[in-house]
Amino acid sequence: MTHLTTRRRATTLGVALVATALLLTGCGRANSEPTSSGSSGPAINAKPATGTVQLWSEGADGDKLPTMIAEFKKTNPGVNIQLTKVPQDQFASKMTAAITAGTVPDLIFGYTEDQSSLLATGGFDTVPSGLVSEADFFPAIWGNSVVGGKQYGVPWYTYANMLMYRTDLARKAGITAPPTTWAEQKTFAHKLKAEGVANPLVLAVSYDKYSAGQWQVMAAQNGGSLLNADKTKWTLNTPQNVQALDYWASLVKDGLSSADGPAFLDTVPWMSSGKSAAIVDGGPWFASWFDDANGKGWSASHITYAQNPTGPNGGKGATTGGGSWMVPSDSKNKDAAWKFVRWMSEAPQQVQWYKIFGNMPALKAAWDDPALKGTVLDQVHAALDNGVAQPNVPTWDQVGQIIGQQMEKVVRGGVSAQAALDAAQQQAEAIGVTGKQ
Amino acid sequence: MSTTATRALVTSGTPSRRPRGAAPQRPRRRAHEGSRAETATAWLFLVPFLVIFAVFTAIPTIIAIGASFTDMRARDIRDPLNVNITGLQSYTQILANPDFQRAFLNTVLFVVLCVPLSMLLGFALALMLNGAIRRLRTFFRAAVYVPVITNIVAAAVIWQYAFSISGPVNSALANIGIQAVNWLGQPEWAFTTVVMMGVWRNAGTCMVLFLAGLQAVPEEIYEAAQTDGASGPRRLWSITLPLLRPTTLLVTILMTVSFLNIFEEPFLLTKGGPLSATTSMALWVYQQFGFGNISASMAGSVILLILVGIVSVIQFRLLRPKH
Repeated sequence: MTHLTTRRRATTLGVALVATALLLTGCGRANSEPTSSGSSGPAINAKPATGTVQLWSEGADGDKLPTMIAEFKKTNPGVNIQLTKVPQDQFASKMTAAITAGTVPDLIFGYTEDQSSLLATGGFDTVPSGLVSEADFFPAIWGNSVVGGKQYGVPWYTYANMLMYRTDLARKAGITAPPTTWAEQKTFAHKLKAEGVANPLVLAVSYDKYSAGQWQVMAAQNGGSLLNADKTKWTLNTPQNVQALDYWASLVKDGLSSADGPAFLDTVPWMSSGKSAAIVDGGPWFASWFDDANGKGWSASHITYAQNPTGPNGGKGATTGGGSWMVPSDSKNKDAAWKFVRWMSEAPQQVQWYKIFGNMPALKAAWDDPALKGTVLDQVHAALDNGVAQPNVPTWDQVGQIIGQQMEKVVRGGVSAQAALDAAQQQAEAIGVTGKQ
Repeated sequence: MSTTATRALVTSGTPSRRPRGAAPQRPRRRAHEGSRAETATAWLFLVPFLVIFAVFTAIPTIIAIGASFTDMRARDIRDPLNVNITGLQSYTQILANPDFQRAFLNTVLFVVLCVPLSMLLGFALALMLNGAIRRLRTFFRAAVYVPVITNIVAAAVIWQYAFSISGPVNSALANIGIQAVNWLGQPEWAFTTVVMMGVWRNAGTCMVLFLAGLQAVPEEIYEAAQTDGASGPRRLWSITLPLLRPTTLLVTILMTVSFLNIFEEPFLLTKGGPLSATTSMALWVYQQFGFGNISASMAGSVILLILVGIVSVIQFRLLRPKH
C-alpha cells in the first residue's frame, strides 16, 4: 500500500515536471517586440461600413451610445454594431483576458486611465493613416494613445481640470478674484482657513497614480516632466519636479489641505458642507455632481470655475482625461470599426454626443458650436490647450503607484521631497519605461 | 488556491474530532472482493471534482510555476510561449525587493498577531456559549458566526466608515475622553485596524470548532473532578485544554493558512497602505499582476504556496492518527 502510494506520487510528480519542462522548452523570445502589435491595416475608404462590429464600451457612456449607433446606421445600412457595456473597474482585466484568449471585440472605447495597461498588452492596431488628422484634436488627449511614437487610439471626448471654489465662502473671506499663481493660491487658502474652513483645498490624497497625476500637472506648471523628450527614461527627481512636490506637500503641511481626505467620492459632501472650499485641478463633472447633491442650480450659484494657477515661471498645466477608440489586432471587422470611429470623431457627432451625454468634444472644431459655450465650458475649453497627458508607457501604472507612495512619505513620513523623488527615480529606473525583466 | 487549501485542511482535519476515548477506527480494507469495481465507482464519483480541480487549480498552478521561471510581462499574453527562460531571476529579484520583504514581514506579523488573538477570542466565546450563557444561546452562537458569513466587501465598507476620522468609533472614544485616532491614516493604527478586522472575521470560525470540541468532552470527567474538589480554573487547565489539544492544533493550522493568505481585509480596507504598512504577500502578488509583471507576480505566489505547503505538511504530520 505504502509502496504503491509512493510510486504513484512519484509518477504524478514526474508528469508535472515533464509538463513544466515541455512548457519551458517551448519558450524563447523570438524577438523583443511582440510581432503583431503596431501593425496597421490598409487605408479606410469612403464606402459605407458593412458587417457586424462587436463594440465594448467602458463605464456609463454605453447607456446612450445606441442613439449614436442608430444614427450611424442611417448612412451605413449594412452595418450591425453590437454593443456590450463593461463596468469600468472590470474593463482592463476583461480586455486583457479577451486579448489572451484571442476572443476580442472588434472595437473598444477605453478611458485614458486604462489605456497604458491596455496598450501594454501589445494587442491593438495603430490608427490607419489618413483616417483622422492629429492637428484636429487637443494635444493631450491625442498624445494619451501614443506609445513608442505610434498612434493607437482616436479620441472620442475629453475634458480638462480647473480650480473650482465656493464663491460664497471666498466672498466672506474677502476674496474677489481667483488666484492665478501658486503663491496666490496659498494666500487664497490661508484666507479661507482664517474664515473657518477646516481644509480649504481638496488635493488628490489617494497616494496612487491619481496623486502622481496631480503632482505631474504641478510639475508641468513648473516646467518639469516625468519622462525625457523621447519617452525612454524617467526623469522624476529633476529640480522642477522636486519643487512641484514641495509645493504640493506644503499645502498639507501648512494645514491648507488634509492628508487624509476627502476620498474621491467624499469631495462633494466636503465641499457642500464647507469643510473644504476649493478643489485643486478638479474635473468638470463636479459641476453636475454638485447639482445632483444640492439641487439644480447650486453649482452655478455656489461655485466659481477658474484656470489652474500657474507655476513660479508662469507655466500652465491641467489634468486631461476622457477616452479613445481602439481596435484590437485580432478584430474581425477592422474596416467597419474604423469607419464608425471616423464618423464619431466628426464635428456634428461630437456636438451631438455632448448634447446627449455631456461629454465634451475632443475635436477642436466642435467647440465652435454654440452648444459648447458657457461658464464651465469656456474654462474647460481654455484649459484643454494646457492639458497634460499621462505618461503613457507600459510601466506607468507601477511607477505611478510608486510615486504615490513616495508622496505619502513626504506628507506623512517626514521625508523630504528630494529624498522621496530620488527613491522613486531609483525604483522607476529599475522598472524602466517599457518593463525590463 | 487558498480556498482549496482550506477545504483540504477541513476535510483532512475532521477525523481528529471524533469522540475522545473511542478507539481510532481505521477503515479495514476488505480482502480484494469487488474492490476493483468499487475503486472504479469511486473514481467515477470523483470525476467532477477532478475535472474542476484540474482546470481551475492544478493546471493554473503548473502554468504559474512555469511562468515564474520566465521573464513574462503583460505584453507577452498574446503569445505566452514567446518569452525567455530566466531561471531563478524573478525569485532573486523579488527577494531583494524591499516592498516584497515588507509584504513578507507584514504577512508574518499578521499571522503572529491574528492567529493567537482569533483563537483566544474564539475559545473564550466557545467557553461562554458552552456553559456560562444559558439564555439565548442559539442567538449568540449565530451572532458570533455572522462575521464569517457576511459579505466581506459590505463589511469592509462599514469598517472603513466606522474607523474614519470622524466616524462612530472615534465619536465613541471622544465620549470617554480619548482623542480621535487616525485609524486608517497612520501606519501602526492601520495595521491594528486590519488585525482587528481579521480577528473579528475569523473568531467565529474558531468558536464553532472549539464549541464542537468542547461538546465532545464527556460531562462525567468534569463531575468526577468536581467531586475531587477541583476548582473551575483547575478543571479548565487540567481537563478542557488537554482534551481539546487536537482541536486546538487543527484551529491553529487552519488560521495560520488563512492568515498567510490574508488579502481581502487590507485590499478593501487600506489598499495595502498607508506607507505599505498593510500590504500582505497575497496583495503584493495581486498588485504586481496588475502592473503586468507576470513573472514576478507568479514567483511571489509560488513563495506563498511554499509557505502554505510547509504549514500544511506540518499539519499532516501532527494530525496523523497515532497507532
